[in-house]
Amino acid sequence: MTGFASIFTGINFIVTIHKMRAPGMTWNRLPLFVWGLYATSIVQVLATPVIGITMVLLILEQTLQIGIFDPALGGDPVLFQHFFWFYSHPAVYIMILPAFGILSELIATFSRSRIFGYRAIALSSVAIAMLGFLVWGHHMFVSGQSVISSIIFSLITYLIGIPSGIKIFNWVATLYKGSIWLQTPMLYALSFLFLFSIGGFTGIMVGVLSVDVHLHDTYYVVSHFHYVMMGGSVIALLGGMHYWWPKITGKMYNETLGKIAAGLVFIGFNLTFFPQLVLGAKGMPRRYANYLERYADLHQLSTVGSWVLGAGLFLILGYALWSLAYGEEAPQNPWGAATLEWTNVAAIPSHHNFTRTPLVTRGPYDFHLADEVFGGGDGEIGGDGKLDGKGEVQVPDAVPSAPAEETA
Amino acid sequence: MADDGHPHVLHKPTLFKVFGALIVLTIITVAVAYLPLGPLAMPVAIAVASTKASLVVLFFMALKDDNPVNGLTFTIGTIMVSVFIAFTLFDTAFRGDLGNVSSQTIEEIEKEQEEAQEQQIDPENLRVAPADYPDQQGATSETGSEN
Amino acid sequence: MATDTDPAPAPATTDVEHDYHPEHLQHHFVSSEQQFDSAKLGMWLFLITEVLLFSGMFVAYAVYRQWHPETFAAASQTLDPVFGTVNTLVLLTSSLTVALSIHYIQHDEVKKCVYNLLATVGLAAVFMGIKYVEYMSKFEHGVFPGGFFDPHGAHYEFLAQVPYASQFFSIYFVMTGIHGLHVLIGMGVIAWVAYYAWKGAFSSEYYTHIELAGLYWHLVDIVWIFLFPMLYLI
Repeated sequence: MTGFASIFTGINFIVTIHKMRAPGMTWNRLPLFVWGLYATSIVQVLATPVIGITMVLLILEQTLQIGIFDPALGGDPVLFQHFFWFYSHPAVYIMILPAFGILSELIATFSRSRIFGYRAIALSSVAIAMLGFLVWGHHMFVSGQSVISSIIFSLITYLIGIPSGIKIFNWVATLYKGSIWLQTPMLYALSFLFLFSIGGFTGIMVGVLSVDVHLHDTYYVVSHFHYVMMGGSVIALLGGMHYWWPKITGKMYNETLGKIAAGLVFIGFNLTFFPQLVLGAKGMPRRYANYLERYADLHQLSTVGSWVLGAGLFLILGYALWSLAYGEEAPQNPWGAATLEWTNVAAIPSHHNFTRTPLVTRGPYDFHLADEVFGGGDGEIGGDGKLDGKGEVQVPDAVPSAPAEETA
Repeated sequence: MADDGHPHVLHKPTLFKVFGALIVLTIITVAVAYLPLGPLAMPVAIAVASTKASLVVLFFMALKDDNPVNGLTFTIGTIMVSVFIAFTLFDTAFRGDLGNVSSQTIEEIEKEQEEAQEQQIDPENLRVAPADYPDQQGATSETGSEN
Repeated sequence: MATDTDPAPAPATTDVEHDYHPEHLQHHFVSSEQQFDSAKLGMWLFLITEVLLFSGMFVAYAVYRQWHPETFAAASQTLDPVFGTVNTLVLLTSSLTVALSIHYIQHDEVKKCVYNLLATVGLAAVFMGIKYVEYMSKFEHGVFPGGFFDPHGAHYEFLAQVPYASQFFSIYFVMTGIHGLHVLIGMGVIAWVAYYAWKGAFSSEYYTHIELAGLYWHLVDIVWIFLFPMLYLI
């Protein structure tokens, strides 16, 4: 069946996180990216089977005409919507929760300060995963479902705003008085904070029952969705891709081009989707190939924005491919990050990632401890955050590893 | 018995006791089905079934003495099932509650519409657009636009 | 990796485990207990996906029963509670035998364990046999799921007059059908486990496969515990 891959990935992650943490890796020392994946896995395990049974019923509906969903056979199409959204609403959290995790890593590393409210961020991911199961009906306000369930779903939808807000505030608090280092990944992280906040606020708007009746199926919803999914997930994904690019490929990308591309993506994105918010509020419905004269200006603006956005994305593709072929060799820890994949793994990870299982004695964002233990005292990774990007990072004696061969 | 020491070991007499309880509960669930309980029939049947299921989970599947995380997993799963059922019923049980949506099924509405179609209607009443009034062209176009 | 002199995968803290390395222990686990616990947590997670898979059908049942209670009352009359009760007892007994098989393997009584596993498979076959008889008696009278619903014959004719009766039988056949599929899969898995147990693959040290097959089988039993009163009795 369709969802098996997704389910087993989820099971694998949860079991690994529960049972196979390295010695000393307590729950409070897990990198927040892992917490994000943990919450994602919970959603995958709980939601995917329902789309599985929905598919089975749909197939039986087509072949045997069992009449559960098809009104011509005495079924109820709104029931299908319940089945569909019980999976598909949590599914959007499958997309955004890893992005939250990536963002926590980026914000902490590039402001070189310990993440503010570690537990709050970690647990709010799990809270979002759980609450995400209670709000599917907010996609169905105009489907003909009962008013009482619309009211309940609308109410619970507001609650989702709480853990999301907790995250945003904690990230901003982490930035406060940090030594912010504006490398490309950080630019994406800051874009995320801005774009996801817009996405979140418009989400509250369409969660309001009376407002949604008007905005349903307009460009407002399209724009909200893109602010969350593109401005949230994709931007965080791009940030994460740049952040881990040296670890994944062993090559550095071109920092200048990276910054230009990040700027293009940010500008292009807003140019594309902000006009759509206005269009939607003015009544432009979605899923139409044509539009009235009075919407023309904003539509054209949006189109131009999409070109800018596209240019930015193609630029990324270009320099990413270029760096694969001609890029500079990456050092072991170009960002001075404190998580294990940077401190205890060679520049190009070996087959088993860790040459020996590390003993974890500190948190993922204890930069001062990481600096002390991993020899940042030579001024390379000082508190000033001015890494030159090529600083050679020492590894502890307990972990004989690769950087030696780089100089060789 | 060598049960002590390893927490997961199943205790044979307990298994048989639980099995006996399950058989008794099965007889009870069949028996109560023949009592005229009216609307209570369903809750009673579900309560008995839940008791049986709990016995199986706690003793046969040994969740009672197992690692708590397994119990938590199972609990979250069952909570999600009840959420799914309850929230869907919030809709389907109260369709049309505030009068803005019809409680009729689509089938019934279609039937009504078909019946309406079959009724003979005076063609005089079907004229809505100006073009429907060829006899009054030009002079009284506002008659049509009213509709 | 030229400087790599110590390829030992286990950290220094677990040197005690290191000397004793049973062959069933896969290299990425530190101890047998960790491996067993991991497998078991994974199985419980899989079980809740199964529960949620069935939950979709329970939702459909709840919705249609709430909409058409008289139809469900009338249509469930045509299901024979004797078959249902016998099948419930058969499945409960098979749950007991599978639990016993785990009890015996924990005490290294391999033979008794295998006999109990085989008894489970046998009882499952009885269950499926009774299910087959039930299905056939329905199909004979044109009681098919959904669009092919065309009841005839003495006890079934009145169903043609009952509105939404075909919905009841759609739900009945889908629920029991998917449950039956799980029984068949369970039979295969338990037979396979029994074969390996017979060959001496398991002992009180290592019986993960039997434990997991048992958990799966109990879940199949639990689903039937709910299906039985809902479909046959009320």
